Amino acid sequence: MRYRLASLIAVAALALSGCSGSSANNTWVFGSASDPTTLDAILMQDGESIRIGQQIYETLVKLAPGSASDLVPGLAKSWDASADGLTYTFHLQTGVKFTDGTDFNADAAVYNVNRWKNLPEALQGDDYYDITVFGGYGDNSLIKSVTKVDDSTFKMVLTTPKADFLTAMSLAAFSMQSPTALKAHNADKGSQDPSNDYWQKAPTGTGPFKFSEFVSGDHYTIVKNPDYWDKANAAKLDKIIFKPIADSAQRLTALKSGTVDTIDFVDANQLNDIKNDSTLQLVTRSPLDIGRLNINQSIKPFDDVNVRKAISYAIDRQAIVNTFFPNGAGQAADSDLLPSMPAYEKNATVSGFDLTKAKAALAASSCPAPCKIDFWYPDSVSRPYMLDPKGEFEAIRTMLEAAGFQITPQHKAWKGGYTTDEANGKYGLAFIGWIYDYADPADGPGIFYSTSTAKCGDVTPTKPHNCEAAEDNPAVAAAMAKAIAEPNATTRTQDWKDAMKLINADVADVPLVWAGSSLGMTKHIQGFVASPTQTEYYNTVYKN
Amino acid sequence: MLKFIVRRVILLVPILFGLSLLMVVFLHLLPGDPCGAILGEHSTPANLARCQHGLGLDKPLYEQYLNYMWGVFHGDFGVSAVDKVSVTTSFLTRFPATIELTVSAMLIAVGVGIPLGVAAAKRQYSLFDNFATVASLIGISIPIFFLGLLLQYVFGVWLHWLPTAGRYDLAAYSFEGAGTNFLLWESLVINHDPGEFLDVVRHLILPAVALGTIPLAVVARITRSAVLEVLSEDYVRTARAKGLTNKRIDDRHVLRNAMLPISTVIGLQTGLLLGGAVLTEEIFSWGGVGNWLFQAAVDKDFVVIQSGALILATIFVLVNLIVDVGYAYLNPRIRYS
Repeated sequence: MRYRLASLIAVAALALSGCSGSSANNTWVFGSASDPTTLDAILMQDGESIRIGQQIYETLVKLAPGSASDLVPGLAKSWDASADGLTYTFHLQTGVKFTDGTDFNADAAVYNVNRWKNLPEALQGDDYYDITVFGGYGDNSLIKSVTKVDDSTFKMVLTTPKADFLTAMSLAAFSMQSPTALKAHNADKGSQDPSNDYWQKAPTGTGPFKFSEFVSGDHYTIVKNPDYWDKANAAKLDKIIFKPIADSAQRLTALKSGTVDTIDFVDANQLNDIKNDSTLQLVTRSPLDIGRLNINQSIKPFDDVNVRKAISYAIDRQAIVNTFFPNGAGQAADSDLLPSMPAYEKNATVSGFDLTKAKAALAASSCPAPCKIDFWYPDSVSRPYMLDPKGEFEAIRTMLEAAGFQITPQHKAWKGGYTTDEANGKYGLAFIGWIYDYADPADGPGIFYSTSTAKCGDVTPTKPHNCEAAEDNPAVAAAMAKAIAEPNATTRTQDWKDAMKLINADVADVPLVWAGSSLGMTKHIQGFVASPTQTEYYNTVYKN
Repeated sequence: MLKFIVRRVILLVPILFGLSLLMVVFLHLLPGDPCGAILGEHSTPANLARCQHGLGLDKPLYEQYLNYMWGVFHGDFGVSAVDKVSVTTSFLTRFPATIELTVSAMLIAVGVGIPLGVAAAKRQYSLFDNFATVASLIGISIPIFFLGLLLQYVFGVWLHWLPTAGRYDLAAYSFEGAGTNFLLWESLVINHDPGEFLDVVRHLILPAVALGTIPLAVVARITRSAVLEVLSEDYVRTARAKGLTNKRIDDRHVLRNAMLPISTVIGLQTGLLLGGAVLTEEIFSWGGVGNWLFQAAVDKDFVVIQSGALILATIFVLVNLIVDVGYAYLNPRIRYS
């Protein structure tokens, strides 16, 4: 009996003391924040879907690894643009196959582009990038036509020039998918139709990895594509497993216990923890996010530019960064643009902290002190550009009150209507932010201050209107339209500088912080090239 | 008995119908909708309107409800607005995970709680009894999230003995193929891989201990008081007077009679845990129904919340029905009509 008990204890101890964590050598276990929500490329819009899509699909043109603006060939080995910026001819790589064995050629490319242009109605509710870049469907799309020239060449004609068109084509949403797989798995029937099992069973691209398994809520697995066409850039890993761990503290615990090899979106207060752990390494992305206060000029007293100036002068951005973005998690922002963008100009806004000027501006406004305003912040959320919304709110509230404002705090859950109400222009002053997809003003201010006739909540505007900020200055709209259409890079940079001057003179918002994000990984993960856009290629990653 | 069971099952219909109605009304009274959760920073009036139209949220509430119920009557519980996975697929994937965790937690609770309660009752007011009482009080009071984090830190981060997330070592093993998602069963019976089985057990230990602590304490306390009550009954004294051995008295008279309240508690606790152990599943990234429904509630994923509630309510009623039937077995004097 005694021996049996001793044996049992020995077995249990052996079992327990087995190294916890991933043991297979060439498999990378990645602690992600959630499951992907789709892998039908054109519908991908959340970071976790794009993270996986970036590995199994490829676009015609790509952002160079680590860059937010430099383009390199992808499935198109070269391209020509007409002088008027309307016609793009893509010369495709040859000998490329989708992972279902079918050919990638001009026919497949034309099929994909036509699908973007004529996105089935059942898919339109899930669409973001297609409508954002091309502006509409069918005849309303920026894509006028797409035609095959020969097996390895096709041509896209736009209705109007769009200077960031090629950069936008590097977005993972505009990846090439196998027409055969899309049709066989009813991808066009929409996400609410059970017969559409494309992305959960057979997402098919040409990338260095291919789909292997999806267990909802547990993991998503991709494996090396052994037939990848670009041998020089073939995947070094055999398998990547994405394990969803929603809570950032739990992700860190999983990393430290060896349950996963890598985690993303490390909290600012966890950075030193990782830096000080000899078994871990911290990989930091350059900033490409902007945390800002949106101001809606259609709500009083924010219609008065002096009130907006007073708010901007009253906020000490460096103090906010020092307190809420420690360890280099953020930088004080003085523009909606980032310093890495050519159109950025230092101190272009009313951004210097100056309490005297703030008080003077408020005194000169239609709402002298004590000026009562509602100030909104979101609950139950942490974003790279807004790590502690309530804490930041309290700090800024104190600053604004020192300048003569009387604040009524307002808050709502981020997913409980905050983003909807904010977008519909219901908040006068509110926290919000943006994660750039690529370093181009068209993907920031070009969206923040765009106008349309869409309803703002229940209100239908009588003319093109900006719901969120009510920035309806016709000069701003004209300057942005000119910049967005200008094909010459140098002229375009100047156009954006001009547009930003107008936007800044209006004090259309209050930029607060430029933020990046960080990953934590065990030291045996090598070859990871961080990108400011958060959309890295994992073919270069290996374990040593 | 059969009539009783049939009546309870029929009662499910109005219960589920009322629940579905309540759910749809309350959910739509809450601020926000899944489109705000999906779009986040990408929310613009046009994007929101297109998303709401795609999900049918722009239709009148009664029409949304009727469409939903029509689907349910045809076995279609809908598709999540946020993760785009059908509710049936998600449930069938996740429920086995919850069952494995629940059964493991309840095995710990029953396996330790009953002997602890019996031993404490038989040594009433002894040092051991006082220790068991204090321990069970702590067990009931300790927040699961605290215990879970403590266990993770000690056994995962500090000692590196046990994993802190997931159901198995994803890099070392694969459960592709069988698809039951009962991993203990698959590893042992289908894959015949003791190493894999041991790995699944290792992943189960921390969440099961965290989840089982409160039921363990409850079972121990109920067992103690139930056994004490039975020990003072006349028929136990009579049995002693007849010269029966303590073991025979305990087995045949004390425990069997004390099992009635204990089984009630076990049934209720099991039913509750099957509804998803939100905190435990969240802390240990356990892909079960609790984690799933919690996230759906955060995301205002109406279809998942409504369908999940309907399915879980059915399971809760059925588990309680099984407990009621179990009463009749334990106590032949109980007859349902």
